[in-house]
Amino acid sequence: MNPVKIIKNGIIDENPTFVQVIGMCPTLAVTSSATNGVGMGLSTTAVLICSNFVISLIRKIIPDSVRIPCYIVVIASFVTIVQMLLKGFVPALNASLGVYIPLIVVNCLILARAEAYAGKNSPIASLFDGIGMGLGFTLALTVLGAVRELLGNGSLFGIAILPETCKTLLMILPPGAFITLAFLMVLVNLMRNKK
Amino acid sequence: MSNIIKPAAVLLIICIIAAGLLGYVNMITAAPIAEQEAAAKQESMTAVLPDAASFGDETEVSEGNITSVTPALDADGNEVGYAVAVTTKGFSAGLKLMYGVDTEGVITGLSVVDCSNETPGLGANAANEGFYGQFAGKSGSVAVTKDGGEIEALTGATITSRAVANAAAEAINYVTENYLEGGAN
Repeated sequence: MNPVKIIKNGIIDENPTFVQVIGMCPTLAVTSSATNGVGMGLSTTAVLICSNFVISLIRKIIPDSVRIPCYIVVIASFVTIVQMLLKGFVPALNASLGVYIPLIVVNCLILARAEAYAGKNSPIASLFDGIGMGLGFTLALTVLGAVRELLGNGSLFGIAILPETCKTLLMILPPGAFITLAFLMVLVNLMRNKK
Repeated sequence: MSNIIKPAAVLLIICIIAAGLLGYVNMITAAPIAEQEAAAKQESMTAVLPDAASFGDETEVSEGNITSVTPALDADGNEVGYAVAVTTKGFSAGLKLMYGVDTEGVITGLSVVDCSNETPGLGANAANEGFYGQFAGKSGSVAVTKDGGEIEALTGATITSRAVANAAAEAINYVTENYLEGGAN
């Protein structure tokens, strides 16, 4: 087991958004600004690391035939607990990340990593897989959000950059998400094929 | 038979543990969450009614979109305005707003309590001061420019903007009818 390799695998070789194309719902829906991309990415990373670890710990006692319901129960409970703790004890963090947390329950990225990795590998390796995949997801969402925010709203992380006339509202509307994602995927694939 | 019972039993045990954990966490976080919500409410009431020294008892309302009205009191205990909580439907349901209305029926402030169901980057921009700041000082029928009013709608989020403007008009109307005209209070 090589932690660096597992993390690099998640960020580049098997990037959840650009290579595996999973977790598309939040990817397309919340990336209307760079800040939203970072927020969603980091919340997902936190949940992914923990759920990967817990599922890997209990992987030997879960019978194969009911593994999916077990994963869902673990993930949903985990997200709910995190949400309640944030609401009760860290209201500042809840105010900035609270809106993303319910979206994580339905993010198939978490379930996909449980099924494809955590259910078959050691807890520590799963932990690093969570970090790598989470960072890869965060990176993809941030780039997507940054491009859309820059073209659609003329700003980056809320700071105005482009003049008023350069705004293309379409880019922060749903079609902008599909268009940006398509162009980014072309770019990523070009770079991957060159190697 | 055992290949049915064993998986079912494991799933049951996992569910019981999960339910127990959730119940426990809910028990220890219920009070702090309620406290935080009360504090957030107090904060938004103070934000929309800056002249208030304290607040009176909240009255639950179930008329239209208005959920509650809390009178604001000055240092001598006179009513100087009303904090009107509204839950309306923007682009989706659950848009929670708090309006401050003074005794002349003029809006003293608007605080967007919860717009997490609105589209991020569009309707959710209602929480930016550039938008909600427009409402202070408005009275009568508040509307967006598209409907002939004075409120500049958010770019790409006319529906959310319109909902916030309509709720403002509703809040003014309610306070005027129930608290100001003829002193029904």
